[in-house]
This record gives sequence, C-alpha cells and structure tokens, in this order.
Amino acid sequence: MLLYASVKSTEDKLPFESTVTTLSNYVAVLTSPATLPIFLNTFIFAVGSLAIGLPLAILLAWLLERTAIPARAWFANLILVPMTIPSLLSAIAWIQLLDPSNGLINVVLRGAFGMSADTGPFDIYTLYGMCFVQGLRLVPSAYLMIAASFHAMDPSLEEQSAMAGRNIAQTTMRVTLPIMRPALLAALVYFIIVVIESFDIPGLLGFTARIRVLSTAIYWATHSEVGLPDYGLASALGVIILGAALLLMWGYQRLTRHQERFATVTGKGYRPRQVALRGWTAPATAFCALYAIFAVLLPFLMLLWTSVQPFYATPSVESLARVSFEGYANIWRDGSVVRSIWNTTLIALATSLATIALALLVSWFVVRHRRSTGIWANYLSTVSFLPQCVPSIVIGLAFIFVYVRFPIPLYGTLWIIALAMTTRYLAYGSRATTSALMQVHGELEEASQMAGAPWTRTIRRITVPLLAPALINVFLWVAVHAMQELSMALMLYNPDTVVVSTMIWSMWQNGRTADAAVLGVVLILLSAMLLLGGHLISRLRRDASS
Amino acid sequence: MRLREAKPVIAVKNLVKIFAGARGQVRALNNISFEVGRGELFTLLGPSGCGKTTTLRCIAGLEQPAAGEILINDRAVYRAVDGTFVAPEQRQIGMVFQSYAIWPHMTVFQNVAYPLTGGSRNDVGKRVSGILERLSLGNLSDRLAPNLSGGQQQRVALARALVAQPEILLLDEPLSNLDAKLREQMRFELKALQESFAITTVYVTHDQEEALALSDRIGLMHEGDLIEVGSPADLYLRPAHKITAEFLGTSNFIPAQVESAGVTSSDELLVQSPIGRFVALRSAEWQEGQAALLFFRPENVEFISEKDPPHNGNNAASGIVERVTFLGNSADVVIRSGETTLRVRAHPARAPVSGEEVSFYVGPNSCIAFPA
Repeated sequence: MLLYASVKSTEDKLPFESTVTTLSNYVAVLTSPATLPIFLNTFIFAVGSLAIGLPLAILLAWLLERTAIPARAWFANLILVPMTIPSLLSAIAWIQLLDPSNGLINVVLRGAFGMSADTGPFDIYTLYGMCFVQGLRLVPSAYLMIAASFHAMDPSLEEQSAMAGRNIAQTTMRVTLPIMRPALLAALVYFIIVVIESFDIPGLLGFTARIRVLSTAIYWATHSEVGLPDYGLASALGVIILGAALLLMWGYQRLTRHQERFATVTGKGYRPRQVALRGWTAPATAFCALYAIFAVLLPFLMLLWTSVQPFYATPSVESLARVSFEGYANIWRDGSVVRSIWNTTLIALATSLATIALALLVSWFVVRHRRSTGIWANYLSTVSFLPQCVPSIVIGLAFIFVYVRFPIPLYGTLWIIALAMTTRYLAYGSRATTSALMQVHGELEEASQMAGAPWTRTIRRITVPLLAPALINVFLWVAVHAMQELSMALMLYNPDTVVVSTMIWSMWQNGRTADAAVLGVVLILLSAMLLLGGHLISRLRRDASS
Repeated sequence: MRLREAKPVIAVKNLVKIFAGARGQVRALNNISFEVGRGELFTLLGPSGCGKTTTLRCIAGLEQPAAGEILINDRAVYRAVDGTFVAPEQRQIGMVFQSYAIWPHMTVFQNVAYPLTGGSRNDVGKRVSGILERLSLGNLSDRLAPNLSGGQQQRVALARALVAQPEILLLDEPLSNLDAKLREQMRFELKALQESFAITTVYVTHDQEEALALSDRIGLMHEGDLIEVGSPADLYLRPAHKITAEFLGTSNFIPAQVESAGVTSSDELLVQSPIGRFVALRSAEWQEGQAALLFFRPENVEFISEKDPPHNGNNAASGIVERVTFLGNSADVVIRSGETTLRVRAHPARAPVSGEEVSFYVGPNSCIAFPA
C-alpha cells in the first residue's frame, strides 16, 4: 500500500515538477500553431462521438426496457457483445469496412450505384470517421448505464401522469426524461472522460490521416518518427488532459451526489410499465435488428474474413477461393507472437491478482476500520479512487518518469506494465470490493475472532469466501481489460515485453493486416473463453450452494 | 441469587470509551466499574445507545477502550496505564452476536467446528456432535446457515460459542431477533443451559422482562454511566436511583418536600406532597424542607374505604377516576387528584369505574423519596 501511495504521489507531482523547471513547454504547447488543431480535434471528437453514441444508446435502452418489442432478450444480449471486442480491433474492422478505396461498404455502394470514382463515398480516415467508430463503441456501456435507470424508475410516477390525462408522448417528455435528467447528465460527463482518454481509435484512424487528439499527441510526442522523444511536451499535454479529466470527474461526482434528490429506486420489486408499440412494432424491431447487424455482427465478421485471407481483399467469389486458415497456423512460427501471448497472460494474471489483493486491503480498511483509522481511511479511499479519472496514457507517461530513475530496475520489465495497469484498475476494483464488503455484516468477522482465529485465518476462511462472487467478477473484469489494454502497454513496452495488443498495433503499422486480424481473433477468443469460464464457475457455485 | 466467590472472573475498572463522531468526541463509557463472579449471569440493561453493547465489546476485545482496566481471572486483558491489550482471539471468550453471525458459506457442523483448532479429526467430530446433541441440533449438522430458522440459528451461534469450553460467555441481545413466543421459550432454555454449563456470563439486553427473569444480578446503564448494580428484586422493589425506577416497570413520581428527616425508624422519612403526607424510604441524606420526588409503583396502590384511614392519615389520598383501561389480567386506572395524575394497577374484577371518587393507600415500604 505504501509502495502504491508513493507511486501515486510522485505520479501526481512529476508533471508539475516539470512545470516549474521548464515552463517553456507550456508556452510551446499553448502558442504553437500545431497544438490548436489538437484541442479543436479533441473537442470535435468528443462532441461528435457523444452525439452519435448517446442518442443511440438512449433510444435502444428505451425501446428494450420500456416497450413491448419482440425478442428483447436477444437484442439486449447482442448489444453488449462488442464489449468483449477490444476497441483496437473494432477500429481495424471498421477500416476494412469503410476504407475509402477498398472498404467493403464503399466497394458495394460504388458497384450498386455505378459510381465511377475510385474512392468514397465514405472516408473513415477523417475526424468524422473517428467520431462514428468511437460513438458506436460507447453504445454498449452507455446502454447498460441508461437501461439500468430506466429499469429502476418507479412506474407509478408515469402512471400518475397517465391518470392526469397525458398521453405517452407527453408523459415521456414531461415526466420520464426530466426524472432521468441527472442520470443522463452523469452518463454524458462520464463518457466525455471516456472519449477524451480514448487512445486506440484515434490512434489507429488518426495515424493514417495525421489527425491528432490530446491522447494520441502525447504518444506521438514520446514516439516521434523523427528526432528525440519530447517528454517535456508530452507531460505538458498530459497535465492538460489530466486537469480536464479531473474537472469532469469532479462534475460527475457532484451530479451523481445530487441524484439522491431524484431517488427513483425504492427497493420495491416492480415491473416497469411497458408501452405498446402498435403500428410502430415493425419499424422499431427493424431498427434494433439493423443496429445489431450493422454495428455488432458486421465488424466482427469482417475481422474474421480478413483473418482467413492471405492478404487483404474485398469479399468476392475470387477471394472466397483463397480462404485458408494458414494464417492461424503460420502465426505461431513468429517467436514474438508466442512471446506476446505468454506476456499478455502473465500481465493479465499479475494485474488482476494484484488488483484484487490491493482492492481487498483498501476496502477492508475503509469499511472495517473507518472509525479507528479515521482520516487515514478517507485518504486511502480517495487515493485509490483517484486513478479512475487519470487517463491511461497519462499513467503510462508518469510511469516512464518515475521508474526510469527508480532504484529497483523495473523499467523495461513486464512488471512495470502490470503495475501501471494495477494502478489504473484499482479504482474499479476497490469500488466493487468496498460495496461487496459493506454487504457483509462485520459481526461475521468478529465471530471468527471470538472463535480464536487470528486475522489471517479470518480473512482466508471468512472474508474471502464470503466475497468470492465479487472477487471473481473483479478478477474477470481486470483480466479482460488488461488483455485488451493498449495505451499503457504502448508507452511502457519494449521488444522483450511485447503484449498482444501492442503486437497487433505494430503489425498494423507495418501493413501486416491479415496477421493483425488473426491475432485479433485469437485475443477475442481468449477474452471470450475467460468470460465463459468465469460464468461457468459462478454457475457451479450457485448450484452447489442451493 | 447465587453466592459469589471472593475472586471475580471478570473485573472491569474505571472503563472509559470515547468515539470520534461527526460532531466531535462522544463519551460512550464513563468510568464503568463492575465485577462478575464465577458462574454468575450478569446482565447489562439499558435503552439503546446507553453503552451496554460497547461495554460487552470491550470485554471481548473488539473495541479498544480509552482508559481503565479489564481483568479476566486476575490477568489484565486491557490496562490503559501500561498499554496492555490482549487480542480478542487470544482471550478465549465465547460470544453470541445480535445477528448470530452464522457463516453462510459453511454448514452447521463447519460453523461449530471452527473454534476447534488442533486435535484429531475424530476428537473434533466428537466434541461438535456432543454440543449439537445437547442443543438438539444433531439432525441439522449438514444444513447450510441460510436454511435455518431464527431459533435454530440462535442455537448454532450458542453451540459455536460454547464448543471450545470457554470460561466466559458474552451474549449480545441474543433473543431480540426472535418472535415473541419463541423469545419467551428460549429465555428459559438459555437460563437452564447457562446453569448446567455453570459458565460465567455477561448478557446485554434492552428488554427489562428478559433481564429480570434471567439475571443473577443486573447492572443498569444510562448514557454511558453504570447507574446501579443489584439483584432483579433489589432493583425493581427498592431502586436507589430515579433512573432505575423510571426504566424498570411503570412509576408514579410526585413532587414533594421533606417535612421530617427521621420519623419512625432511621431509614424512613416524612414528605409533604400535593396529595398528602407520605412516610417513604429514603434514598439519600436529607435536610428538612428539601425538594424531593415521591415514587411508588401502580401495583402497590390499594383502594380503601374513606372511613378507616390508616397511619393517622399518612400515605393515603383520594381522587377521581379519569379513565380505566381493561388489560385482561389487570386494569390500568388513571386517577386525578387535584393537579396530580396517578396510574394505578387494579384487579380487573374490582376496578372502579370512570368518574367514581376513590380513596387509596400506599404502604411506606413501597414509597421511596428521590432527590428532585
């Protein structure tokens, strides 16, 4: 914990130290004509992604939660599927669908409308292309968040409006949406943070188009194609992005605090009222189906298609003949691929285990010892929640600074990547374990003490088994995220510590499209297997206990 | 009441506990001192928030006091002066929690076997089944905790507290989670069990009936102070403090003035109240003319005919019946006498009717004068 705290404080300080010694970085950042587009791009990217993602998510959540749409369980599950696909891979998939010259959709459209041009009509390598892909990326998690608040709303609030003689449209506009306003606002702020720190999509799409946003600008400042890495510039940008994220997080917390005023969850069991769609059933179903096909299935199928082709080609009779799984066989001959899979496994394991151990410790102090440790418990909870709003790319950057000069030679090892990820995911982990631990009555642990058990036995025999479901969830969440994480790994890796995500990134940069797709499918399969395994374990546990 | 041996098993001396609350510090325990003898059942009784559970948790070692001393068999488990603090797991105390704290991921057998470490499997099995038999839980040993009824959970918690044969048993409101009927039944079972194990027990409750029925001695607590300690009969019949009288049973309090500090015998005195002169037991040193509070219980009031007032007219008064509430085994009568309202417990068949004028008498031994 002490180690962690020291990491935290230096991490916070280091960018600021540089402000004292070299204020010129800020001058450079703020006056350079090259940086103005970066801010502008970041702004457009955030607004554009949200403008696409949130309305879609709200509409889908409303349709699936509050209307009598057919096959809702199917749609609800399908919407969540992209969460298992790393955003790096969905960017790759969309490039293959919307590349201006040989993207599948463009080729098909040109054929269908007899267009003569070689390119278009769509160009993914633009700011709008980035917004589109990022916007779709937001839908699953935004859907989860918004559907939950639709679900939790007391239907009697709406029924009251109906009794007052309002129709469905009036009720929705005048009661439902205003009640949900805090939840929607909170989601908005939260996803602004997500978009600003998003690296994979602007990194991949903006690389070709040379469109930089804040997060990718930091990366390119430290990984310049020409000349030395400019760490001063990078940290100046890092502080700016960190400041923006902190400000937004503060706003987010204010919003969610005031949400209590709109307490819509009463703990009563009820089924929300469902609106009959009548004549709108067919269009609504078609809309959901289109979304599922277009945004969920198509990118995944495209990735699969690319992975079974020796080189990239649009699907046709001719290229169908070339389908082979050689790519899957050949890839294992590449030593660095095997190493990257091994490294990824190690990092995922180390990160999730370390996160669980630290999260358990943090929440144990926060929940059980709040009274005796007072200020310390508060400090601890704040410090462990803070990385939630520190963008991954900034954590990566900070870790370079801290550990290059660190007495223990961690820099350049796998462990520094695992440590950076642990720092990042501890916020989620400790939040999950804290709420789980609060459900466990303190007397259960005290009873073990009274039975003569030392605290080690109490934790092992009582606390951990009681928290097992929450711990398994944290393990899976962290492991999957660590496997798919790109930006921190990219900042901290070297040829020895290459992981699957950085491997895909460099394959893509070097034009090895098919290999990147193969490795991508392998990564998706690994994540899916992990999730399925976790699901089975919790199923078995539930069966055993009943 | 059991005869107490010279050496107490538990001795609590000048215990102070301070909680750091949101609005500054709260003194949860204020110089608490008491002793519990071998095999005794000692109850800490008081309203919620009076510090009784905190005292129990200090004995268990689950709370760290701010000052004072706790001795178990003459050995300090906590002493503020030299910083002695024995961890709860090393105090060898059995405890039953208010929530029972049965571990839901273990069977009844595993729960009860938990305190037994070391010893062969066979030995552990024998001891666990022994105690389960004794608490009539033998047929439930493979059940998981969530599949037990409230009464069964309480027994499992007891079995777990007793299996390692501790010398001390701490019970934190063990009956409060049971429904009324079961609570009454378990009250007697608990007492019988405690006696057959002859285990020194500290019992915490806010239920006065429970405390009166179970305890050898009761310590009455109020806002962090231990008000007084005594046998159930002492505390109920002859409370030394107004707080005790108020908390246990129902009371009548009438403002009065001391007329004479010594009347018939040395521990009686004469007070003048708005409803008449009363001979009462004293609870402190008195000066003539001092303000006092005359106390007696509704059940000690007798109705009399006006013709033969006893005691030269002392301890008798009259008034008008304002309301009669029929309660089945008794009737609750409210009498107004001048400005004073009194509650009287009457036999249901001999209760007066509303509006009737009645005279009544309260024996000197049932009256106590408290400092106002």
